[in-house]
Amino acid sequence: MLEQMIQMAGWIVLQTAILLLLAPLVQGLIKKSKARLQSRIGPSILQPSYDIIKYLKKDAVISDKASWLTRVAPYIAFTAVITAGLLVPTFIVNAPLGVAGDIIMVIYLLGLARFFTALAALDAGSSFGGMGSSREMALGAIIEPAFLLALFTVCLLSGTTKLGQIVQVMSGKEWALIDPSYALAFLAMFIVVIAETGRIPVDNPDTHLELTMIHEGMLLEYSGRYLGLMLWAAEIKQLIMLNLFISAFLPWGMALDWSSIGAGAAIFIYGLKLALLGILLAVIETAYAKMRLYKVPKLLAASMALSVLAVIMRVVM
Amino acid sequence: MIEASLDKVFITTLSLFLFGTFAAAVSQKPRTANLIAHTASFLGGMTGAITALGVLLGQQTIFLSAWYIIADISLSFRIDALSAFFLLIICMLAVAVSIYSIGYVTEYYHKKNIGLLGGGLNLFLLSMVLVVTVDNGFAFLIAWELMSLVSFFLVMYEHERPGVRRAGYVYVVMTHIGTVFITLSFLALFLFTGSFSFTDFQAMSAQFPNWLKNLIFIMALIGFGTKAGIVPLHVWLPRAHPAAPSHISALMSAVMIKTAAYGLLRVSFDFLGGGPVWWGAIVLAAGALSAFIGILFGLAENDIKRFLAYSSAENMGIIFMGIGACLVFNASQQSLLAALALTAALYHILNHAMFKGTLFMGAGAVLFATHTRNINELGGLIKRMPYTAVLFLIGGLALSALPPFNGFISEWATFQSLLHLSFDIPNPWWKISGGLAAAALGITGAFAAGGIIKHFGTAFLAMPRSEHARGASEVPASMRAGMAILALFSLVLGVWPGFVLAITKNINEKMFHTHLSGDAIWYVPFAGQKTETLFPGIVLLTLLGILMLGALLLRFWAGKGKVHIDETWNCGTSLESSMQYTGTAYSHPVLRIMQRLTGTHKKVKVYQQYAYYPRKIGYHLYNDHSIEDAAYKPVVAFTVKVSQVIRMIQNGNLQSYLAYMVITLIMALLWIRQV
Repeated sequence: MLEQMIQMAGWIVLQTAILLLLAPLVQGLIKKSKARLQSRIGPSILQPSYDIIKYLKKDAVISDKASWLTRVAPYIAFTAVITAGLLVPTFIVNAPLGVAGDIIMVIYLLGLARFFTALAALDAGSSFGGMGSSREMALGAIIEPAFLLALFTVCLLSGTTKLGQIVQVMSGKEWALIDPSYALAFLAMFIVVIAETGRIPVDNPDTHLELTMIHEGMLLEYSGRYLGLMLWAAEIKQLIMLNLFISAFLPWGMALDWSSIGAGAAIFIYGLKLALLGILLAVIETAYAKMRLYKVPKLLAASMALSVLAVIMRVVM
Repeated sequence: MIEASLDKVFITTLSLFLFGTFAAAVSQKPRTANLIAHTASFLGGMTGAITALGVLLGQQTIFLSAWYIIADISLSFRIDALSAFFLLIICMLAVAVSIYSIGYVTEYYHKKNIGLLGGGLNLFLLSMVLVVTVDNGFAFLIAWELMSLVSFFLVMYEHERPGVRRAGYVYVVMTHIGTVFITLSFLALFLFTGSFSFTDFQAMSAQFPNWLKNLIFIMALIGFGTKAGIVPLHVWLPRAHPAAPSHISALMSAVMIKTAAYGLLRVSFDFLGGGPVWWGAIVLAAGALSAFIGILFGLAENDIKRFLAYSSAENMGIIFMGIGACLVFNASQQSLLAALALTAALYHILNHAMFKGTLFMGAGAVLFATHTRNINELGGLIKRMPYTAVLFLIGGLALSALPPFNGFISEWATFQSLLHLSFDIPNPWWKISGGLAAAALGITGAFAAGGIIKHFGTAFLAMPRSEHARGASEVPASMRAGMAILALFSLVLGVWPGFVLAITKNINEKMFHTHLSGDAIWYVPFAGQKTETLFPGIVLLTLLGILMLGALLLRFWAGKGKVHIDETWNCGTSLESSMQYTGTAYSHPVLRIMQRLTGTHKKVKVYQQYAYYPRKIGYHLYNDHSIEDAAYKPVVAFTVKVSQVIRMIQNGNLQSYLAYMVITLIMALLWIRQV
């Protein structure tokens, strides 16, 4: 019992470290590949990590209109995101908190982070914050059913919502996993990943232009340590979305247990998958322009339609 | 021995409510009336909760017979597990609301009659207790009518305020339409069993022909659906709740509409023993529609209490989704999953009572302190009313179904029920419907979160938008205590589902001969290897652990960090309170996306002397609730037309009225003769 608890604690620490360190790296990789695709040299892959370290050490400026919520929200958003990350497998078929929660828990923990970010955006009374927050919640509401439906197509195959078991069932199928239904669901989920990570064509993570920003608009009043935590949380959330995508659609090569060779190879394969997905995101960001805000629901509706089609395919075939 | 004493405790509950009703009504001084009424309802709530817990945990049933008039017309009580569950919720709310009201009714001192309000509160509680405990169809209908009428009078308490009478009128009409259907369904049961006793209903309904079962079910669904505020029968909810005093709205929304769920469960499972799959499909579809439309219309509101009322329609929808799934599983002989779905519905009934009670009381506190319910006139209350703000936020987090609060657990269980509709029912239609229902539940939760951020963010954060908000101060301690009790339960029920599993065990045992296991966890064992588990406690502990460890590490590594206080960035100009995002602006993107359903359109009017130099610009946003119009306009037009025809007999001629009486007398005599 005690041994199990120590093992679990160790695993939690390991996975937390993976999330904390890898998230800025993935962000850096996307930025770097985007720069290369646009024929720029671009900042180092480590730049987002440096940024976060710098932010965390800087003093903060807070609005005189703001309440305690502004100071508390970054901590809550950050921890909620990490806890969600502990429920999603990375390179091994289960997650450290796999027994404690499932996909629905992950979605709602991310929702908790979103809730506090959007609420804190209203705290300073700035209309930029209000605009970002209002758009975030509007799009968030449309993303949610698309997200659930896309994951539902995966759950249907295994008959459970527990990620550990889903991954086991999926990786057990090996190459037979790929069928028309899988392809449709793959696309549907990919759209959700783009929307949920706030990337082009849904949101532009690099802009502070008030007419286009969503996520950045909410963070406009933040600075110093609080901004560092918020940005880090956003990067970790992006990593979690990619982890979810990998677990549900690219489960090949995940380690089944902790044997050293298997785990080592699995870590390598996991890194490879992340890098490929990151580059794919960069390609999409380069190839497309940002959509008008009111066109985004149509994109998500397309994702929902794909998911429903995927379910129908699964049922009739 | 214990059973005998529980009887007495329950009689004490009834007597306390009855005493509170009359003692308060005759009290002259407002202070005395306040004290008597709320002490009585507090003690009544406590004793009632003890009775309910005794029944739920002690695996027993209380029988009590009060009056026996003739064969079927009697007042008798039978408190089984299902009754006790609802009794528990009513009594928990009675306790919290009583404490809250001590502070809240001081608002009406020397303006209104406190005795009537306090007495009405007690009578209202008594009528709800009767509804869920009586064992006789006749007594049930009388208690139901009493509940409707008392709540109607309480809604009309501030009848001199504009709009209140109209709201009360809509309420009383809608609630009676519901009562008509419930009465019809009970009369059908009476006709075919020859008795009004619930025991006979249960015993004999197995021999009913199918068409009769279907008829009884449909009428009960319409009748109870009206009370539950299921779309499109919800129109009274957003009107009556804001009109009523806030502690009454809290009771109406948190418990009164739940009696509809009690009635539906009683009729469909206890009397009729479940039904075909399509019953479940109808309830599920009605629930999903109600949840989605309810919260969508709620998002458009700028009145806190109207928003909360629409959200009640949404939550009743979620409860109906659980009941619907339960009916489907029951029809497909999946008893464990049926138990899961029923537990989800019951859990949500309990949870919604807790957080909606907190929220309505919080809205009442805002009203008490600022005298307005319009969030566009509020702002900055978090600094003036810090406790109320925290309690309202907790209620809001629970309403948005966010962990670690209770709303999440019951939504999780509802999600599981809906998803297992597609996993475990072989019919391909359910594979798709289950997923779509889950998606509908998801969008509902996200809308609810948006609504809470809109209302909390606009009313409590940033700068005050009017004198009302600027002059606000924290509400009395009793009001905060009332809210805090329920907010605490929101957290406890959110991390410890074991308690609810324990008290719903007997209900599931009785209906499905199975129950869910697990104590601090939620653990659903299935036939195969896969199990759905949820340990909300572990998640909360991890969350807190990471929070504290992270904050500590950050502190050690980067130091305390200085914080400078400065102005909000506003492009270099000074920020006025009118520049803030308003509630109207906040929900505009969602409404625009959902334009087809909400009928949102804007009108911009430019007032100008010369072209290009407007003096001012007026911007109006309208939401036509076209669904409500489409459903009600034809019905109202038809009713008016029929009434005009019937009016012919009301010709004001004395002779013709006498003729009617003679004709009625002759017909009655003939009919008696025939029998």
